[in-house]
Amino acid sequence: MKDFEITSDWIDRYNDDELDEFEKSYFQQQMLNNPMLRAEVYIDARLNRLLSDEDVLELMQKVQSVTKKHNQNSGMMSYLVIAATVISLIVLGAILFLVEKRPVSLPAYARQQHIIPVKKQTHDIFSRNDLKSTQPTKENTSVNPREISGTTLLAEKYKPLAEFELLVGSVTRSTQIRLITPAAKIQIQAGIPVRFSWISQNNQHPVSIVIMNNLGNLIFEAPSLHASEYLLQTKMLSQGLYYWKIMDEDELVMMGKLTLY
Amino acid sequence: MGPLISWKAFLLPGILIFVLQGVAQAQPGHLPEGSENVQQNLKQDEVMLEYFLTDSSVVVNAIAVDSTLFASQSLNSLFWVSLKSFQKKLKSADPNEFSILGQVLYLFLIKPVEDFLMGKRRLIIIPDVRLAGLPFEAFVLNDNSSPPYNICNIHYLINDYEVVYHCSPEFWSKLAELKQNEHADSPDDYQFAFMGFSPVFSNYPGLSALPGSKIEIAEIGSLFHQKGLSNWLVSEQYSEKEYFKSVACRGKIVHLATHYIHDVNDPTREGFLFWGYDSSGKKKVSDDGILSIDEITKLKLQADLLVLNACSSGIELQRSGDSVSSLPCVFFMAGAKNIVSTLWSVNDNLAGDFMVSFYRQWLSGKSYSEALREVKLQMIHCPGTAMPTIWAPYVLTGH
Repeated sequence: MKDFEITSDWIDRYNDDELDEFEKSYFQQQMLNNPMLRAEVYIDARLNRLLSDEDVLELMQKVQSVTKKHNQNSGMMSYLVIAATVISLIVLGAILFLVEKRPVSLPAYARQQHIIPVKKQTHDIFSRNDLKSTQPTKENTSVNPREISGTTLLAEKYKPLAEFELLVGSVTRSTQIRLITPAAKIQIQAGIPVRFSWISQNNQHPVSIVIMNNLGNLIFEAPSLHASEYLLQTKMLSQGLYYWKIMDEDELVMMGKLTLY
Repeated sequence: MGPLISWKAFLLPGILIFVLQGVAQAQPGHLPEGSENVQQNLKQDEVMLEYFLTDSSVVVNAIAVDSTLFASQSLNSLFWVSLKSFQKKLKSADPNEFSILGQVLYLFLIKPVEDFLMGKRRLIIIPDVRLAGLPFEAFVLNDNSSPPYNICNIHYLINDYEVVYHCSPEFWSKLAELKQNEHADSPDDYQFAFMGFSPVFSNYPGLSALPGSKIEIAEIGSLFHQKGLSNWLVSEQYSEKEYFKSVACRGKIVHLATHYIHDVNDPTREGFLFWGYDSSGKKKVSDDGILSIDEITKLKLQADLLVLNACSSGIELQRSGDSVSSLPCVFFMAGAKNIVSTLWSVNDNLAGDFMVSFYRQWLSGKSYSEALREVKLQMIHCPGTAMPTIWAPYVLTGH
């Protein structure tokens, strides 16, 4: 069967019933397989119907006359919209500035969405085993002043995050990664490294390890790991409760808890 | 103590202005060919929303039993960024900002037809391929959560509507007609009300075991037993692919709790994983344990409900030149009438809890979509399960 090239005039011709039988059959077949083409045909048919309706034409003329009058005032209107937008932005900026200044401890979701910047990691050869090691820098472990103020009790840093607790310790039904270590819940002294090791079903899938604090904020990320081991240094993490996630690309594979004392 | 007024209160009007730069246009719909069939099969409280996307606009064809609406909305970079980020945050269990992203998606995809949905209870979504894998029920109408913050106060689309998905309006209509005819002609002739399969994979080389899946089907079987309904549970090494293929046609509800293997490079290696080792612990030569897409198309299921409680079992299939576009559609071809599948990786233990609650609701007399909505609402009201990562991956494709 000969293949035709469907061009935009086919839609008009189809709706005007100007296609021959063979073309029509071919076009209908194309529509069946192409939702966008179907949508265009519907829209075109709708427009045709509207334009052929005398009442609608009369209405359009009325709308046009009203629009002409409106246009005379629209220049002023657009200036008002721009002015309103600028004022809104200034107010928004001021509010955000004031909010940023306030040292407030907030629960996870009420956060002001201040994600601590994650520095691109550098891989170092850690040992003869060729373990790749990266440790969180002071910058990315420095705690958001809104989260932990000077008056916050140490206990606050060990308070579990309800939203994560039920996810801890259970794997997802994904076949890509099987985690070997660490255990789902570990308690160690700050400074002792944590060894992550896993078996990946498909080496083309990079693995990521993410550390979040007990407010659900990102503290550290080791993205796109193609190895099967990773050593997380905890020297620069302060005492407290952390949650780790091992991810297959963007998807969570397992979540665990890391308590540093 | 938190700030007196959330900055979100100022951000949202700004987003609204940004969205409305491409003003939504809605007009009474021109009834597309085939839509008469859809209207005939819709109930009073149902609306079908069919989405078509281009890079710069979305067109929504909304069909109710007595009216239609054709709405269009310009799309901009805000939409595309929000779409990607929203999905990423849900899949990765990242609690930051998903609420604001959910509100943006609501404004772009539901707001243009919001008035049309008034008085309705059930949405049947036919997503464009670019919206596949997007849980509409997790779109956010309002975030009343601050301050003081309580994640349970977020108002999702699922709070207002049951949400069901389907592959196409035509397919939906055909299955609706088939269902009506079935009701008229024949009573249930299933051997088992419930059939559950969980290979579990204890001591299975290279794979994470799924102990939660065994508990899951045992608890569900117990629920059916309490109601005096027959059930057939198959676990561990008994849960073999060939056995599943031979008996799955006997169940009214067929439930799979297992791994799904994704392999875009080798489609023959993609599918649901069953037990593939013999009694001496050697891998079977004749049976790789993978129920592949091709094998699924050859199944002859009769299940009124098929539950695919595995990772990303509702995904789009990357198979060019194929009319079938998603796993649920493949199972429709194989004879299943309704399918509960997942949009991303589900946690083994919580997946079991979710499905046990789902069946408890269904056995109390609710429809599949009512039961699914009820479980999601229960989870939203509990802080430990309120994150959409836990409840939003479950979607019903069907009626």
